[in-house]
Amino acid sequence: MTGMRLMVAVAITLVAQLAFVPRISIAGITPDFVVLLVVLVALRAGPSGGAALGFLVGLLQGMLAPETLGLDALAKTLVGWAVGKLSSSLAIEGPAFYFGLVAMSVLAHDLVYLVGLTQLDVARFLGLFVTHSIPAAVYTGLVSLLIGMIARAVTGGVLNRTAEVRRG
Amino acid sequence: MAERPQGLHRVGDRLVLTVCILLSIWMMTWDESDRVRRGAAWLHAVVTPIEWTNRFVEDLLELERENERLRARVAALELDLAHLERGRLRLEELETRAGFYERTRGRLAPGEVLELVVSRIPVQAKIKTFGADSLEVWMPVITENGLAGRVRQVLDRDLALVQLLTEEDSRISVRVARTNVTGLLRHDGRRFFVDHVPQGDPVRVGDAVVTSGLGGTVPEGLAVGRVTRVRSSPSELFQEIEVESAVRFSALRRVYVVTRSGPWYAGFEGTVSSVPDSQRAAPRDTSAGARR
Repeated sequence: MTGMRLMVAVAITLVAQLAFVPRISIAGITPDFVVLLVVLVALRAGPSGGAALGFLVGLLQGMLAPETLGLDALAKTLVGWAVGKLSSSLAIEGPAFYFGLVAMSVLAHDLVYLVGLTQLDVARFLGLFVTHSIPAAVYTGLVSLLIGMIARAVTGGVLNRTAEVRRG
Repeated sequence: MAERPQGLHRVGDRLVLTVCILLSIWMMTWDESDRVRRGAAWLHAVVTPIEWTNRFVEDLLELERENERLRARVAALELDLAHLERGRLRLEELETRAGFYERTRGRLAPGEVLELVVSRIPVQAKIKTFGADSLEVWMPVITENGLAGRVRQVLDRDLALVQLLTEEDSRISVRVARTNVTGLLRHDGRRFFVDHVPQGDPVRVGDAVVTSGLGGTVPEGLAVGRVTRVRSSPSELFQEIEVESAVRFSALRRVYVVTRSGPWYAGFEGTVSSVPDSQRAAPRDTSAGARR
């Protein structure tokens, strides 16, 4: 992915996260498109690319809600790096894998984020994690499947190409 | 190109991760007020160029639309100009055939007002002109908005006292441009009137009033003002026609004296920029023939 395309993808994702995602919320649960983008880029670009993009988009999100500046960047850096690392060592493919990967990424992201946000207030952490993070992870995983199917139908498959890159 | 060794790759990955984590933790250690302040400043720094670009593109599009509109307008004006030019040539041809002579426009000598004589309103002005032309009594004095008055007394070859149109003794022959109805312009101390226009002569509000040239001292066609009120009464001999001049007599600064020879601007073209193009006429050879 060239730098310009990546910037456009980041911009579209941030705008979608801010403007579009609230419209598709179900009982207050929304998918996390930004983590989804970090996962997709990390699968292609590897650990350093994933970590750098995670840091960048996390920083941009932090600017929009500066009370937690740094926390978003940290969580997404770790997710980007971990997914990038994982992509070079796993040989599993298919929709279930991507659903699981994206959902786990959202859970990992929220784990780090909520630990920082609640400052180890266990009750609050568990409350938020159970009522918000787990449903959001499932929702984001489903959305990633949907996007994958649409992309495959339109262009031959973003996820397939990602897999090819991984195999290559 | 040779591939990087695997070990170097791993070190690079870990370096990127370490730097990102350290930067994130460093930001998290700031006070909340610091985070808010710096976050807002960074966001501003990120968003401002985007806003500028957006505005620039909008301006560019608007400029393009404006350009198209102006092109269309220029094309229309070019057509009008060509039409008017044909009319002017036709008029000159007809005048020549009818035995009229070339109309003398006079020549403009720029000057400035040194003093204003005020009697409730400015009624006289002392002016000094620049140029080779000597001043003479009754030479018209104009501004870019129209006729202002006439030279009443010559104090020196470039210094004169001007009787403004606002002086109650001032009388100048004028006509309504649309219908050629003529009358005498006077000022009653507050407003301008055109006197001696018989009842029934066609005059209406908004008509342009210009000099008629009948008095012999002021050339024909100089702008005087516009009709603002017409009152006709069967019991009166004449109509009462009120006129508003575009000249701001209380703010007279730069004036032009119409001298008796040559076309407008002959001799100082390019030195006077405040006179609009509408007053610029093509120089004509007035050496042949006498006045109408």
